[in-house]
Amino acid sequence: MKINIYHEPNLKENHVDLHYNKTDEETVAVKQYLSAFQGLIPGKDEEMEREKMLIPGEILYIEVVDRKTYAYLKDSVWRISYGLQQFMEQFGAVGFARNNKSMLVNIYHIKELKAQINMRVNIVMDNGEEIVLNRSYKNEFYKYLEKKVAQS
Amino acid sequence: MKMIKEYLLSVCVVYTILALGKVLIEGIGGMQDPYYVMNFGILFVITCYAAFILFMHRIFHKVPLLFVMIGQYVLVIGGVMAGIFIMSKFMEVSPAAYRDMFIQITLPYIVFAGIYYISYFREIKKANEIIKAIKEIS
Repeated sequence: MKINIYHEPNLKENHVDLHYNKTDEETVAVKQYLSAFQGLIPGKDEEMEREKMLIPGEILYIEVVDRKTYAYLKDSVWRISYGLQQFMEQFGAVGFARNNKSMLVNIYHIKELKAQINMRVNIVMDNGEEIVLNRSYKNEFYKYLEKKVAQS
Repeated sequence: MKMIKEYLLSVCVVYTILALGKVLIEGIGGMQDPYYVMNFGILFVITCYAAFILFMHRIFHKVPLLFVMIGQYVLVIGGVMAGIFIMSKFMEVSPAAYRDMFIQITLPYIVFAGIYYISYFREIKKANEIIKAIKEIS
């Protein structure tokens, strides 16, 4: 990909234009990188036909299944091209905390934590879905909550 | 490496507490242990074994904690009872050894399990209060 960088002191607003003739790995990566500056995440549906720009705040949780990452909204699921660690680094500050090995949960969409009879902890989401808070990530999760409440 | 360090630290702390407890109880009660040296040795072996079993819970993090705790208790008590049984084949063992060891293991286990159980619910309660506060602020 050819990259041109222009320094124009009289420009009213900085902008980036991406010109491409076909969507390949490179363009997907560049689009993904640029969309992070707008705070948006490009998502595709399961059939990879429809595209949607996702607002991090509307995502309930992120899950990795068979090396594919999915963003779960209140009533839809979108495939995103982020790894869990990469997503955490870019959007962790928005309110995403690790709740198990393959998931990140948006703490702003948690309704409550529920104790189970077998001493497991379930996270009840705003839409009523329940996901497991793994014991190995429990302390890290509680610390994240405390950090967030101290910041706000 | 971190896990080994934590394990060794736990063994040191627990053994010190148990040894001090034994000395204090004997001192206050005016008792004399005729097998002083051997009992301290056994106490150390049991501490190492029990700490090892308790540390295994990290491996079984997908198994419900209640089952892990029950399984660990069965392994600890079973191992100690088997140890006493093997020892009894080579030396004289007090007739009350099985009962005493059962009490000495079961009581602290129940106390610590109870403390853990209470802290488990307190943590959830606290986390729910934080979640509520975060939602109210945002």
